[in-house]
Amino acid sequence: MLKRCILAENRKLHASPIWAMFFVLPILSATYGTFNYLQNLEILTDGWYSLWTQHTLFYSMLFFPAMVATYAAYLWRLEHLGHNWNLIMASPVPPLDLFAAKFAVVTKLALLTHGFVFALFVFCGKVFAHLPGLPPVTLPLFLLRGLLGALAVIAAQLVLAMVIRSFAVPIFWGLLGGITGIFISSKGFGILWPYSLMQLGMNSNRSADALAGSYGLFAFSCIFWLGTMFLLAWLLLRREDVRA
Amino acid sequence: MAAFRAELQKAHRRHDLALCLLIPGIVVLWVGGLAPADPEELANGYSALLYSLPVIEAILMPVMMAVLASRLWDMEIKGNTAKLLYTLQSRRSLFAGKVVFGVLEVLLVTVLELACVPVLGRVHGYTEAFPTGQLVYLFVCTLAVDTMLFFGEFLLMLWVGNPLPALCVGIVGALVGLFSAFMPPLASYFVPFGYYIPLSAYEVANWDKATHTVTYGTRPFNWGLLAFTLALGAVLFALAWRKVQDEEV
Repeated sequence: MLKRCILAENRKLHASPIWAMFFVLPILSATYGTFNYLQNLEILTDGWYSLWTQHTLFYSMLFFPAMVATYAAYLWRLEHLGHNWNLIMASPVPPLDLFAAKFAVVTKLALLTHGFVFALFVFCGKVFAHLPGLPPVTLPLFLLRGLLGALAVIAAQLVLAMVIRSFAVPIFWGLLGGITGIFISSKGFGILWPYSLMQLGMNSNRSADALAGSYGLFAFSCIFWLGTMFLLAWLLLRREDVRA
Repeated sequence: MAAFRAELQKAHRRHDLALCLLIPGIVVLWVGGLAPADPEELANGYSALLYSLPVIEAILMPVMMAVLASRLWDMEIKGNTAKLLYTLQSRRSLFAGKVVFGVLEVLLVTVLELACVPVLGRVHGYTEAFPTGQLVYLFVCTLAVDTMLFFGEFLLMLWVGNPLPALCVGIVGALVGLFSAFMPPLASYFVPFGYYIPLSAYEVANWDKATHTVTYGTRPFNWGLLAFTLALGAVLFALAWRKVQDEEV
C-alpha cells in the first residue's frame, strides 16, 4: 500500500510549478556564492572549502527549510482542497502510509536538490573559480550529512503542513525554523534542535568540522527527531476523521 | 464598510494577528541575540539596530507579504467563492475590502516591528541619542516596500489563482534581495524585493579588522528610490484592480 501511495504522490508532482523553485533557488545560491568567492579571494584561501561555504551558507541556513516547507505544503494542499480530506480518511489506506509516502517523495526531492547543488558547486568551481582537481571527498560527505539532518526538517514540515490547513503559513514557519536553527546553533545547542541539524551537517559556515567528535550524538538526534515527528503524525492522523 | 466587515469575519480563526506578532518576536530574538555589552557598542546601539533591521526585513518580508496576500485570496480559491462574490457585490467594494484589510495588516506588522526599536534600546540600555528622524524615515520606507510587495503578491494571486507561485516568488525574492545587499550598490536598484537595504539611512562607516568593531554612520535619505517604490506600488495596485475589473465570471 505504501508503494502505491508513493506512486500517487509522485504523480502529483508531474508538471507541477514546484520544479521551477527546485531549479531557481540552487542556481541563485550558486551564482551568488561564486560571485562572492571571486570578489573575496584574498580572504577565502581554502579553495574548494571556501567556495563550499559561499555556495551553501544562506541556502542551508535560511532557504532550504523554506524550500522543503513548500514541497511539503504543496503535497498536503491537495488533500486540504475540496472534499479530498474526507476521501483520504475514508479510503482503505493506513493513514501513516499517506504520511510516509509524502515523506518519501519530499526526501527524494531534497536528495535531487542536494545533487543539483553539488553539480552546480563542481561546475562553478571548475569553470568560474578555476579550482584545481576535484572537490575533496569530505564535501559530498557534508552533503550526505546535511541530508540526514534534513530528514527531521522534512518530517517536521510535513506535520505542520498536515495540521495547518493553509498553504502559506507552514512555509513561513519553515523560514522561521531556519532562523531559530541559526540562533540555537550559535548558542552551541544546535544538535538538540531539528532545524539546526541540517546546517550542522552541511558545515557551511566554518572551515573546521562542526560535528567533529559528535557524530554519534548527531545521528541520535536525527533519528530521535525523525521518530518523534512520525509518532506525532501517527497520533494526529489516528485522531483525525472525516469532516461531514 | 460592509465589505471590510466581511473580510474581518472571514479572518476569524485565521490567526493572521498571531502571524503579524511573529515579526516583532523574530526581531527581538534576532537583535536581542546580538545584545551589545561594552560602552562603545552601547553608544552606537541604535545605529547598529537600524542598520540591521533592513537586512532582517529583506529576508523575512517578501515571504511574509506573500503569506498575507495569498491568505487573503486563497480562501476564495479554496471555497470557489470568487464567482459568487463577483456577482453578489460590486467589484469595487470587494477589491476595496481586501485591499484595506491587507494594508491594515501590513501597517500592523510595520508598526509592531519598529516598536521594538525603542523597547530594545531601553532593555539593552543604549546610550546613543534616540534617532527619531531616522526611525520615522525607516518606518515610511518599510511601509512603502512592504505595501509594494504586498500588491505584487496579491496581483500574482489574482493572475495565477494558486498560492504556490506567490510563495515561490516570495522565497526567491527574499534570496535575491538578500544577495543584492552584498552586490555593488547599482545592482540592488534592480531588485525591488531588497529595496529595504538601499533605502536604509545607515551604513558601515568603519570596520576595525583587529578589534572586530564596527562603527556605523548615516547617509542621506534616498528620496528618489522611495518615490520609485511608491510609484511601483501604485502600478501594481492599478494592475490588481484592473485584473479584478476584467475577471470573467
